[in-house]
Amino acid sequence: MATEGRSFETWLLAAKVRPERLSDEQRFILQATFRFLQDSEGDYSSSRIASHFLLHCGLGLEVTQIARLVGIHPRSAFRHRNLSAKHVGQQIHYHFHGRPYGKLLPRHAGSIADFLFRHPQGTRDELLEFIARAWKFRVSKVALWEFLKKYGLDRASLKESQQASDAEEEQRVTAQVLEARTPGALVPVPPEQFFLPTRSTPGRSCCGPKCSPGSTRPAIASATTTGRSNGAS
Amino acid sequence: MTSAFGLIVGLERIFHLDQMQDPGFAVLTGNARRCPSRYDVGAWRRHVRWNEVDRFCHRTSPWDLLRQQDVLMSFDEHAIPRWTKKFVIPKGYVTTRNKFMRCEKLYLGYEVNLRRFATIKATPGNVELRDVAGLLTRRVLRSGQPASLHALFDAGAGKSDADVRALMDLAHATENLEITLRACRYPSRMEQWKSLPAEAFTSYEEPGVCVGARPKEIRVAETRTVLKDETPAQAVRTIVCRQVIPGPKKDRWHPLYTSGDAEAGEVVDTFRLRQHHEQGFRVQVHDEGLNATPCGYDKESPDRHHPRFHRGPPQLVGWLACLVYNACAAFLEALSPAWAGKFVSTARRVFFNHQGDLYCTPQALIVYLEEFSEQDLLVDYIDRFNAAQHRVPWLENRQLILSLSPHAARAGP
Repeated sequence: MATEGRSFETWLLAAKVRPERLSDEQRFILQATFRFLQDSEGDYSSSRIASHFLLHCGLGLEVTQIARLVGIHPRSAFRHRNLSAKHVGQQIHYHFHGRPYGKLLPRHAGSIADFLFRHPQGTRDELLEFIARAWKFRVSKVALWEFLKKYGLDRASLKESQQASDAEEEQRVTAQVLEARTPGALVPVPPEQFFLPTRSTPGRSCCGPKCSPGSTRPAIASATTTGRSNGAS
Repeated sequence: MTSAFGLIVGLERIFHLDQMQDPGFAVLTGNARRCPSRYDVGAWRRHVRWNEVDRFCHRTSPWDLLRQQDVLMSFDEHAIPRWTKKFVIPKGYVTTRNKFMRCEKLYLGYEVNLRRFATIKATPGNVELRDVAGLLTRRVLRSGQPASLHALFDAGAGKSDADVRALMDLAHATENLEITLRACRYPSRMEQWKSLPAEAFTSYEEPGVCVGARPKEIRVAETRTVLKDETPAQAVRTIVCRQVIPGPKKDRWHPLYTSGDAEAGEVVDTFRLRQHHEQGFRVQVHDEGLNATPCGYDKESPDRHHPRFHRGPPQLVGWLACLVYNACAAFLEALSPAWAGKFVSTARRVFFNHQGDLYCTPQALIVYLEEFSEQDLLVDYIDRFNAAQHRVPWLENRQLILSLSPHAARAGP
């Protein structure tokens, strides 16, 4: 709501309307509009009526200022400027009689995920056919794409989650292999992914920043070998 | 989380976690890979501090339901038997076993009209209802801010005349407080009440135990009882209820002390609503494993003959059981008036414990329930739940989506 919890002055300042520059006529009209919006608690109809009035009463305010005053997007205010009062009334009527949500609801996501899981190579048309068969309504491809994107069921997201789960599985297997040691037995060889990739350059790169060793090396400590240990040898 | 959700899914004992291999329960309790260990959960439960538990109980109590309402609240105890031989802990009377034995007690306040638990206090077994009656009443008045409070107590609150006098004084001193308690049937008092003339009683007829059974006859009289070391001017208003038992058996007498001015029959009817509280205890014991609350005596006490008492663990788990009871009651009432008052186990069997699949995408965790017969009842609830966009913080803040199988074809939320 554009006027919620605000005084008249803060309402004007929030809309970037400087009170000291307003004429008496503008001030009276804006005060009346402020009271109107406050009384109606900023519902859709009231803001449409107020914006239509301010846009057409010749008050001398900019369209963007009026948009900020009634709390709508400036692009919508420019579009509303060309409408007649009859059209505004019709739009208010349509707003309240229309369906404010899509046909696909969050509770349908499970069935769609199940279908995608069972038919990984299924096409969009097959999915649309499944939706029509399951819930007896049809949706457009755009609506379906938006729904899938929203809940991470589109191909890119599914591929990403598949990669993430594969990586987690590898980590888990690695940890299991390392943990599965019996006393007295040979240390198992860790899998290849356990180690960092071997250096492809012949020596240390002299171009990059110098690595800090972290702490001074104790004089008595022996140098640590960087070679791989092989438990089987 | 494990302690709360364990009660919802019907985890009877904490060591059942060892056999738990449900991925849904694992996700629900904070780990996507495996169910929590009983050692971690058990250790945490045994070491919670009493002051933190008190604060948790206070902040999660449904005080908002009581504010500026006419509250009818029953206060009663639930004794949890303890079978330890190693630790010498105080004994108390356990009604279900009809004997004094080692136990710990939970004292609970229950709003009988709303059917919700409102407050709790855990104590050692030798504490009685009379010791905490005033404390719990004052707590409800202070925190709940009801327009009026009618407190109902069982006979344990008035074992001695001094206890009765203390409660009556509290009622007289507090403007919006009314107290009704069952009087102890001491022989001398019973003689006095039985000697009331027959014309003092008003007879009521009530339906029998089943269709076609003989109707019950209830006779109600009103008198005043002079307490020990008091004058007749201070006598307490007493409603004597006599249930006539046909045949050779003795009649049953139910005397009530009350500070209110309501008609005698009305007082008896109001006091009978206390039965919902007892039913609530039964539901908690059988459906939520209330008797499996962790013990309050300190197993690390240096002297096993005088172990310390920590009220945190039993009070916390007891209160979680109450919160689950309240939440299930609210959930079922919101579904349909026909489901109001059903037990926790019924809700669990019909709505909670179902097979399903989990789909974890980068944006959402989708819970896809397999088809079940009552799923149509859940459609509105699931739409509201999904619209609220709840997220799972321990699963990279994914949105939680509940989903039904396509059988539930219905347009719109």
